Amino acid sequence: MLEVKNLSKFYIKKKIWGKDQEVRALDGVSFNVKKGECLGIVGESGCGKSTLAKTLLGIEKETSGVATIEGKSRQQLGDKEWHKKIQMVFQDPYSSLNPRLKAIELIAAPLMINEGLSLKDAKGSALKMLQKVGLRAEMAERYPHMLSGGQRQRIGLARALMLRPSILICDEPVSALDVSIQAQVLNLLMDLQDEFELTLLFISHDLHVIKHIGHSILVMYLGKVAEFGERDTLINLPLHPYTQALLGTIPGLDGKKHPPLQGELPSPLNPPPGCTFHKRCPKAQKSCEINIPPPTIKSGRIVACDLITSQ
Amino acid sequence: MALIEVENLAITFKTQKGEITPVRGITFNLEEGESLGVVGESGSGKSLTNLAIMGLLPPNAIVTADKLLFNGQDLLNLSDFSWQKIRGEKMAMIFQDAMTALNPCYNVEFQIQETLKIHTSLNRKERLERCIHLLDLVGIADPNSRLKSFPHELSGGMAQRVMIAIALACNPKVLIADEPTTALDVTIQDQILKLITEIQEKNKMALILVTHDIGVVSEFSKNIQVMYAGEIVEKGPTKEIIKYPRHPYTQGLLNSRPGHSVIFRERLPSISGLVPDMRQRPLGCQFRPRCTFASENCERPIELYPSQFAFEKNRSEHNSTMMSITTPSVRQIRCIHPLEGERNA
Repeated sequence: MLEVKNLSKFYIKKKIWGKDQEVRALDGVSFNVKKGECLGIVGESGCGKSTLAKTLLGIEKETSGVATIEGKSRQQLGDKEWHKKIQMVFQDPYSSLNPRLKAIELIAAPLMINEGLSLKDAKGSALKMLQKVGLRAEMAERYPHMLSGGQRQRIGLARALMLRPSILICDEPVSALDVSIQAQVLNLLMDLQDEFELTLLFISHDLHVIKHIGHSILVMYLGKVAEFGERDTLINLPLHPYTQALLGTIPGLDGKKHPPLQGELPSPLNPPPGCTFHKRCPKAQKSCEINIPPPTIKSGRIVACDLITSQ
Repeated sequence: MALIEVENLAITFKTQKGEITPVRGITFNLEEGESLGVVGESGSGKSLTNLAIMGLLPPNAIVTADKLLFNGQDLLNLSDFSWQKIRGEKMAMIFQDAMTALNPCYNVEFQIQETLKIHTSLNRKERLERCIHLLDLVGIADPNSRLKSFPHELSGGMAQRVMIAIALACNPKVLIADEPTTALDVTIQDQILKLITEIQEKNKMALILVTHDIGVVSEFSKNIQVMYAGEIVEKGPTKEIIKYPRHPYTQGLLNSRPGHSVIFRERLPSISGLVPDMRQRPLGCQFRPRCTFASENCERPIELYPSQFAFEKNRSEHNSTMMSITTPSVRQIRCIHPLEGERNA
């Protein structure tokens, strides 16, 4: 369905003196998602998850590489067609909705812009969608500030679904919500995915959520793919030390103690040589400081770690 | 004697649309060296309670209580001067967002020294040594050079470490951590929580850890207090509550976490509805409108009461595991028909 090959996005940091610096926000990311499945994307903040989403949508222009939906790239389809196929729900329901528009206007906006309908014509289908995401019809006339976080996120979801996209990108859709509301929104998302046969890209820093919803999982570290594979293979037997660490660091209800991952994400302006993870890696060896590990297929997944692939 | 004694604490705000009472009927004790986790959704009054203990509420808040004692000292009628003697020296607080809690205009050294200057009689050299020692303690690499850093030069995790260093400057007896890791990544969250609990155990300090994530509390504190709509709904030893939640809300919180217990892509058991509006509180049990077990009896007012329940019954079945955990009087709930038995996971 969606295939991404070697997608890269470099930002240039201009310097008044000296050489311009290059920030490799995305560096050769490749993956694919099957139709109707859900890909979970995890990583710490600054690892390029959101840049990936923006580049896929076309909000940011990619530096190199290509993304194709059913074999066609954005250049081939044109922006308008592309956006009918791929839509996004943003992280913060407080800042991603225009405070001056009513709920119904927010939801109808995609139709008005892309299909050229008037608000009157778009209203009918907007109302239907409003109810599909579990909001009552009287909410239509409310402004975002009159709604709770969960309700706003539902409006964001309804807006994204208006053009009947086949791919939906959710950038941390539940991290701004309370636990009890989180479960409601996740349930809704799974229901809608089945109903509209959506292919879902679910970005989150919470591996528990990803574990619950993702058919396959993509672990990112500093703009690169650390590990990518089916959910079961990855959860049951994580190979990359970073995936192992991520799985270990989430406080669970079992009360198990585990050693924390040392240090913090290095600055992408000045990434460490060799494997970018080697400074925090508990298994790092001398060779990790020199060789950049290429993504390799190993026991049913793609993993970028020399220690694993050389075994 | 308990370190902090709170009895029937209520916080009222006067607003243009009338009075609201977001926190009411809070009663708890904090012993020396105890670690207490406070869990609840946003708007449940967990932060307000702690701000009241620290005396940091805005002037339009009216705090009433039968008892609000710290180390035997009444906190209700303290002068500003006496507050300063306690705050920072005996009680300290870590805030949620370290980046906004630190003053962007001053460097790290100044902000740590400020506390030391006010509360201790150390001279300049000793203060500097103490600063470096503190930064080292909270795990900041190369503390000497970091002293001159400004907050914007620090990462989120580092800023939170500096906050902890400031809070620990005078070896306080109580540390209140209000969502210390919500703004941080999971890997950093883990480091910070381990750091806080390590220091707590080493200094024999009492700790109140406020969070909305029951998973965090279950790993890092001995006792839990679950809050809903400004009231305590359940409290007791962590292990026990995780395994045998008695209040339906606690059970809902535990079950709605996407975690190990649920089957892949199964619908998560969620709590329907929203937190009640403080202006129109429901009658009786505050959780009633969202509760699946609610009956007419739930409309009667209900207080927190000690519960002894089914541990006795269960004991014969789970003989080995149950024996060690419970002293029944510690467990308190606010529910007419509490749940019995193990959490159905």
